[in-house]
Amino acid sequence: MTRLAEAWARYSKENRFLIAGFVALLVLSTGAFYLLERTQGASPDELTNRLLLFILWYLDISLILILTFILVRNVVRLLADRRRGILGSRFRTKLVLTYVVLTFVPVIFIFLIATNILQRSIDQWFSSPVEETLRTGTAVTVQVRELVEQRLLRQANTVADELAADPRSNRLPALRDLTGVDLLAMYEGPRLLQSVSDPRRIPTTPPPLQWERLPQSGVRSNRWKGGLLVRAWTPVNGADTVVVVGDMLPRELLLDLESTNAAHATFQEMKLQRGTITATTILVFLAVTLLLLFATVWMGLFLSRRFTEPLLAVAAATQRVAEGDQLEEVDIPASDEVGVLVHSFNAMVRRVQATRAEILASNQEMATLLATVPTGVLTVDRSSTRFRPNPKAAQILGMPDRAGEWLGIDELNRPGLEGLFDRFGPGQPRNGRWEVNIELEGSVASIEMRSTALPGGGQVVTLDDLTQLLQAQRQAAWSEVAQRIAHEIKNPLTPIRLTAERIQRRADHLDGEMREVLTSGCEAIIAQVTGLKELVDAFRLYAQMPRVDPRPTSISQLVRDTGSLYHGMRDDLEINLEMPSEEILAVADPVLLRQALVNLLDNAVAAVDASGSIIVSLRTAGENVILEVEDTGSGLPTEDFETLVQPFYSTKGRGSGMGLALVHRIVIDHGGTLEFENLQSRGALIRITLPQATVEPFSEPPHSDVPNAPGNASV
Amino acid sequence: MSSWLAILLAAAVSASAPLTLETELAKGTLTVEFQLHEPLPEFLVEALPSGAAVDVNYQVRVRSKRKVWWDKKVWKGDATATALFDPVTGRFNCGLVLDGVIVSSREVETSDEALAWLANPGAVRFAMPENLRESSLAIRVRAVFSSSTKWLFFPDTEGTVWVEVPITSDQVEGAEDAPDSIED
Repeated sequence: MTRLAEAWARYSKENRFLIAGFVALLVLSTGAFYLLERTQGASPDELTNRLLLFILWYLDISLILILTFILVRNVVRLLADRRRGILGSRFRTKLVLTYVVLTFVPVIFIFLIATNILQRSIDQWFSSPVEETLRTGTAVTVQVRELVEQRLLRQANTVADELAADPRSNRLPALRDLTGVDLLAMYEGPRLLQSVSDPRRIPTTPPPLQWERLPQSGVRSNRWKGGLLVRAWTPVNGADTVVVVGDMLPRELLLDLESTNAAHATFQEMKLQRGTITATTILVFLAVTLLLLFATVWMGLFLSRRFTEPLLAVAAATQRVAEGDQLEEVDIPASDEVGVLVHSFNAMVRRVQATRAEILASNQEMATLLATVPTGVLTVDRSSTRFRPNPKAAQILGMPDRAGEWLGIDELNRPGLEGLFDRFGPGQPRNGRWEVNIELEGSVASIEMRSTALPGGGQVVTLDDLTQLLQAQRQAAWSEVAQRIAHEIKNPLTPIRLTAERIQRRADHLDGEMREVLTSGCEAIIAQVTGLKELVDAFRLYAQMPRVDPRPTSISQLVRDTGSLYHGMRDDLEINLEMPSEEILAVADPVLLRQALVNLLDNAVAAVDASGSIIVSLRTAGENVILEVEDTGSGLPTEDFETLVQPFYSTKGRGSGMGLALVHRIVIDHGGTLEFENLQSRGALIRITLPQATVEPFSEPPHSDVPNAPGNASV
Repeated sequence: MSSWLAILLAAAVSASAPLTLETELAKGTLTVEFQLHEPLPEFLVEALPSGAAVDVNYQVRVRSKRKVWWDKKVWKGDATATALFDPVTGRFNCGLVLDGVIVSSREVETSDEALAWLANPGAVRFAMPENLRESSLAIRVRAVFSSSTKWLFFPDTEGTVWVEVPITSDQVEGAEDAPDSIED
């Protein structure tokens, strides 16, 4: 069953034609059988007419059915396509309807007019004037014959009278000459007594008359020898002798008369078949009309498909593009202007594809550039309602996960970004350069903002983080200050100290109160000078920070080594190291980095005046190494970053105030960041973030004599 | 009394019947003589003097009567009476064509005689099939004056209704005895 269904589906089109042919043959056979049944006994002419009518009728019906089928099938298909919203169905429906209307209306109009004219013509063929003319022709024939017959009858009577007066038989030639007839004969009963005739007109003896069926006197016309022999007879003196006179009408006259008669007879016979003639004519014309309609409709449908296919293919391609599909060429054979359109479309597609590839490459290049450029870039749309940040801009704006996304401009309307957000408000210039401060997560960044309007609307805004630059400038300035101070202060310190020591030595020889005063004063001077020297050394260190010598360094080992220095410093202070078991490596200057960690630990130890703890944690985050020092001390006096890293800032009342400044400088020189945070519980958290960089594994870990610490180490 | 009633009834029916028949079946030959009482259509009468061939077709059907089933068709044939006026001689050539074969002809002098010939062309002899149950036979005849088409195609005829009479082997009687008009 499945095979049958598959075979049917495979050859369904051919099967439809076979079924249609079978049905047509069945109808034709049935019609022929019916016709033969009805026309049995009909004359050949009638049978021919019936067959002709049947064939015409069958042809017309077939054409009507085929035409209807084609039209209905196409209309239904178009309506279905239209309902399903298939592209081009509306256009094709309009085209087909227009074509059908433009075809049907004039053809049917012409058919009606022509049919009317034909019927009028047929009516005129059988009109009274024509019939009267033909009837008159037949009447002329009859009158001619009757005239001849009457003349001959008179001449027969004349001859009979002459013979009655003088019955000599040798008078017949003279009487024939006298009367001018072609034949003169005498009969006695059926027996011919004597006959004279014109041998040119009547060459042989004419056929005898059937006297037993004829009256005593009369006239009779008979066809003979291609002409008409008219004979009149009358008895001679009432006896058995009968005189016969006759004339032979010439063959030419007879042919003319017969031609006229035949025309009238044919006319009358055709008049009897008028209905058949009309039906045949209308059916023939209907068949021609239907053939014309069939041909035009089929051709119209074919041409509409042929014309619209390339256009619809182009339209479908454009629609697919509009719906987001790939732009592709149309592979439809076409000629003329449609072919030009298709070729132009394909050329346009190729050019667009090439341009698109270039744009794509350019976009990729631009995207790569935007992703890697250290400058933040914001693309703002023409309505200034949306913007798209590149990774650096997203990082600056505190939304690193949203790089490359179109974001609402309101995303910038939040605390800390007011300076930036205000620049996108109405009335703000699209071109310009500004410096704004943004504050995110407690840190303030100085951003240089450059805005450039795009030709097609919108604008591009670049964000340059000037924080580090400003810090570097400040550091340079502080270095200069520190160097000058160190230079100005260091020189007099040694003589002061030497002088104080000499005075102290001299004072040892004195007694009493003077000695105590001098000794204590000198000690104070020496102490201050020592403090000043330490301060000067710190200044010099800050001002003459050695260049970073980065090399692969085990940060884990560095933390362990440094942390061990503070082991047991105070009984009430607990120092914990939290590190993963894996060795964390980075490219860094171990000396400077150890100095930074020492400074942080010094500050932490100083901050924890009572019992407490310090936690030094080390971990990796992405490509960064994060080193945190957390204490349970008094916390930071302020979270203002600039203040904290400012040289000479100290709240301890002792020290140079250069600790955090040095830490900051070391971290900056390593390309890292430094963060401060007061903990909610108690104490502070200082976070150093360093780029891990690509580090070749050490062949032998430095300080391998120190065993790896466990995850949480307490020293 | 009953015979008078039958005669009166037959006369009444005969007056209304368009066609009467005289049939005789003997030795396998059915002899039928048609007598058309209905005047010929005007178009035939008008066409006759023109020299056009005018004919009346007598369609003959012989059926075997059955009680339960419909009648069985036994035989059918056509007899056509023709008349053709020859204006040259002034006489009418009349003929009787039986199944396409001229079986008799005559020449008459007037159109009335020609029309009379068309209405009564004389006795026609049909050869019947053998082994007929002669007791149950009936003959149906109608005269057809013209044939045309209806709705441009379907064959249509103009003529009398069918007239049916029973056939007996020694019967020599017309429709007056047992006419039965059937619309076909």
